[in-house]
Amino acid sequence: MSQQTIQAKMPQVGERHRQLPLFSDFSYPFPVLAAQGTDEPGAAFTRLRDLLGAQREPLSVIFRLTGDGSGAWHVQVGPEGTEVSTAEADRPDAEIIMDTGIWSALATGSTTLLDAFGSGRVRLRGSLAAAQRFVRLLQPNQDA
Amino acid sequence: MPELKGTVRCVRVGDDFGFTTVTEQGTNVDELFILWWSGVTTPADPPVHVRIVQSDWVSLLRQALASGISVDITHQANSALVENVQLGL
Repeated sequence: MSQQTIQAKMPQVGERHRQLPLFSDFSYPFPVLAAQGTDEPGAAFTRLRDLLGAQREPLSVIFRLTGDGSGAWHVQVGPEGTEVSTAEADRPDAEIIMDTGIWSALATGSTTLLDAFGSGRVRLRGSLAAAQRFVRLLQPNQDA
Repeated sequence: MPELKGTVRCVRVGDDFGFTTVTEQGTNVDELFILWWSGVTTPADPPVHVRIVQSDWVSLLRQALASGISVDITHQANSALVENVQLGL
């Protein structure tokens, strides 16, 4: 499914819901991690690693992607820097599950995690607070 | 369709949405589910039978939360949208 098709089929979460404390952190698009039309998810995770860099508080998030190019990417943030591996995480703080097409839409900044979640294309497992902190780290003007 | 069995951690209901968090049995991992989200997952003004189902889901989840009985949540693959809720067994 193309990104345009995904976007056309994806209902937008209303402005009032975007302001709910539960969801406001998820309402911003990710910084651009991949160019439009990039099909290989791994490159976006490399960009993600570089963007996150070193952070004072450790955080472990696993992205589990299904479909073409499926796999699991474990993002570990810490004071020494961020590592991304395809090794299974024993107990990540949060787990985000989606199709690779949705990941591509997120990585190109053409949708938000909130819209993808609201349209039934993402599962959020583990600590919601950890997932919120993770996405805050990707917003340059917000404190994590 | 995937199913998740677990215990209800919370139920959150607003004027146009309902969410629940369930701790999966065996893994102890929480997962956030969407019961309904008017204008997003359901029409802004859903028919009465949909409202009744939503109300029934809240009743079952509330009972599960109060009594500690496990629930089975059926959802679509890669989706937090709840398809049905089973209380007990």
